[in-house]
Amino acid sequence: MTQRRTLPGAGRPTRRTFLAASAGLGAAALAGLSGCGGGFGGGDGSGGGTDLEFDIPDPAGDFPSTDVTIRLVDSGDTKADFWNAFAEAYQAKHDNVTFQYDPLPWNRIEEVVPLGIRNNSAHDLIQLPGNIPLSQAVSEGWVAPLDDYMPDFADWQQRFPDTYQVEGVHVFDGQQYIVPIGTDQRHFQIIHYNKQLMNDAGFDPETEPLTWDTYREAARKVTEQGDGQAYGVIFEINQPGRLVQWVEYMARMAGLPIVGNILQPSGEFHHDSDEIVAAIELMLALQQDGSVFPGSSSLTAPECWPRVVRGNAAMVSAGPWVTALWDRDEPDFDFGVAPLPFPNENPWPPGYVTIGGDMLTMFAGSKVKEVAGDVLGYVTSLDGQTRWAENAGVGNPPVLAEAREAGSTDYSDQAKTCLELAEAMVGNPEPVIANPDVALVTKHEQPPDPGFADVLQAILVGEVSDVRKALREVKDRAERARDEAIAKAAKVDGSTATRDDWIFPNWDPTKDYTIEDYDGR
Amino acid sequence: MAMLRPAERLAGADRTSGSPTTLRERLWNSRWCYVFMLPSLVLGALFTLYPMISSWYISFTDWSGLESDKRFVGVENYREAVGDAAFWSAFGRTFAFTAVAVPVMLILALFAALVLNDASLRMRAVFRTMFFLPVVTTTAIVGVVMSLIMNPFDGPLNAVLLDLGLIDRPVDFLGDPDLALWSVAGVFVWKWMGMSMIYWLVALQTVPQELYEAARVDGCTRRQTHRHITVPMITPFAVVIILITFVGALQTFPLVQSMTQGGPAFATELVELYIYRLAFAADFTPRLGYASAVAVFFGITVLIFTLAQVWGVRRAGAMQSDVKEVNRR
Repeated sequence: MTQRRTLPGAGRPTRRTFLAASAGLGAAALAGLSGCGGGFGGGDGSGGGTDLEFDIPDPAGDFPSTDVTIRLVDSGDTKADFWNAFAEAYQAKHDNVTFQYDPLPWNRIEEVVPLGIRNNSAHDLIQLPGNIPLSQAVSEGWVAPLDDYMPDFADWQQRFPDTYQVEGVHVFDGQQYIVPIGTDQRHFQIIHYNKQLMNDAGFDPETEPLTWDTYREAARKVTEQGDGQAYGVIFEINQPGRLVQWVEYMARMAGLPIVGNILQPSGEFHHDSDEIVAAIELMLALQQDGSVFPGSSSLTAPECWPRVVRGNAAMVSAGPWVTALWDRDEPDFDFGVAPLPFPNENPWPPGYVTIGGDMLTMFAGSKVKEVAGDVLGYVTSLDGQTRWAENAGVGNPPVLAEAREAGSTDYSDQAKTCLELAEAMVGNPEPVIANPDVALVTKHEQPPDPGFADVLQAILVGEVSDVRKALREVKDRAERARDEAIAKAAKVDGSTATRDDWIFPNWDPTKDYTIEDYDGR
Repeated sequence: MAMLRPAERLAGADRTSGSPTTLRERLWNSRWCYVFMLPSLVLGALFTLYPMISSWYISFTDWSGLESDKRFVGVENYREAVGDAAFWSAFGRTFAFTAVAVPVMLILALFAALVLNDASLRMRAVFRTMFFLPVVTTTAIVGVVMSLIMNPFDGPLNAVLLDLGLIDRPVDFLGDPDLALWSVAGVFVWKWMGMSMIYWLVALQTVPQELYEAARVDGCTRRQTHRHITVPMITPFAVVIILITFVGALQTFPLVQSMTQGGPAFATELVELYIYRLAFAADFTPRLGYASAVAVFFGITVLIFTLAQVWGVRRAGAMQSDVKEVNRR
């Protein structure tokens, strides 16, 4: 079995996939989004999954009797623990099947998958990279519909929520081409903090959530007490896609009505909004206070996390995959998790993309489609989803709420807090659900270069003096790029998408946007 | 023309009649040469010629590298490249990097070579190995290790500079946009100096020892010996070494990628990283067609320097002949 460690820096696609998802890229983007945690290993085959008991049913239909190999590629992270354990169990169940699992960082997936498709040697099950929209993969004939290969598909359709079976996103011409295994209902930005440093400074965000003021104050106190050995916060400035998420979470919680990066109901890009500027100014204030860990400018997310464990920094903003990582690898480290600070008493809940994550699709050239379908059938069953929750952990929660609950009984307190925070999130409307042609626009859209992430990074490293002007310029470039892409998609592909498809007048930022709401917009 | 004697004419006729006259015969007689060349020719065609020609073709298309159809757009990509501020920024950075790194590296390498070329120096083999060791160390590893060494929080470089009193606060070598490129250039010089040093050593070892002996007998000082013997003798080689090093300095992808990934705020995004970002690491649909156009444009630039190298070699050969002629007289 091929097992490779996921490399540091694998979180790079975060920025792409986040922006793409914000723009309504759809299923393929979500597949990428799930990799936001960056690579922190896993895949060594020694995960807790070896203790799991998989109740894998007997295969239905034409299951091969000769020796075959099924290959699966995804972005690893905590998923690797599940797949390694499952591979062992699946091979034990079917002694003629070899299960090859290849967890790869996103930049490798972006190279390996297109090459495999071109050479007709791609993996049988693929987590599509963000640079291959599913709509394109379907139209090019690279992927196969799953309906005929997943056992009891009609039952599956009943079991899985509607938002995972959307025409133009998961379904094309009535056939399901991609299956989400995880949900994206998870906080991508949670404060993970070193309890000792924070408590010594007189703060405990778990019991008293931080406001923008107390956040800054806590960072300053930790830095003062640290005397050059500990700093208040650490930012992954060299992974600016994460900065975009941070700013957008802060702005949304502060009351900015945004769906992705689009203001509601105006439909304009959000870049120069007051809340965005205020969040950036808070970052700059932390820098001016000297509270930001030195060297943050050249750090990526996976390089920041160990600094908190070592006590060099008190707070880092990270997703629940870091909770899972520290639970697994740092059992003696006393840490807490808390929501990002908010400036007012009633923060808005952050939104999440409702069309799923950790999605797998089947290569059209696969010689073992029945096996691939059988695997997908199991991992999306209640038993498979529960095992997924137990092993992939809070970093990659499963789709089925019942499995999430059943699989989280042994979670740490911090992991349970992550789940609670995720429960409070609300489902965002998705432009691509409103009009599947939005995916065509996304295909043609060349976001501004430099983009929002680049400008944010430039601001933080001191290359920009007039913040608002720089943001306004990004916004103008983004508006032009969107308009050009809409026109090009209409001309080349006959797209019907317009700017109105990004506007949801009936959206309430404190409530889930349901499938029914699309009809009423 | 001198007249041949009958016997010589006969011998010549025999040789002519025994040598292949047709192309087919000549090919047949040299068949083993061609057989042995075949693997190299095939591999060269597959992995050098084909990708090169393919990239020229792709540069005239609008293609993401994924779709089955490539849309021919003529010179549109080249036109875009000419007006692309990001490309020109990367282009300028690349040549600024080269303009600084190459002279520094060559001077340091020459100095090291002069010292290590002294036969009386003990353990010079050990020193040469030490200088050459970074050359054979994996570039990505060098990049990662150097990033740790330059870390402003607990990197040993800052610790040493602080201890020596050269700085009063830690320097963010790779996080400061004004310093990052030159920090990478410093590592580049350290990494590849050993190679230039070997070139210089080869050049120095071609200088005949008797010239130095003669100079010593004539009472020349060390400085005069360097100026009047070493420098003229190695100048032809210097032209080649400078050009090889210059072209090498235009290709810095692995080191920069492993140290800064082109950041912060594009401060270290050289042309190769820009091409990579367009083609593979884009935050949007990749643009292999445009990336190819930029690559071809850049490749032509490198080609110009390579042609200059060829011209330099020829000039160098002529200069060496002149020096030998002078010495002979």
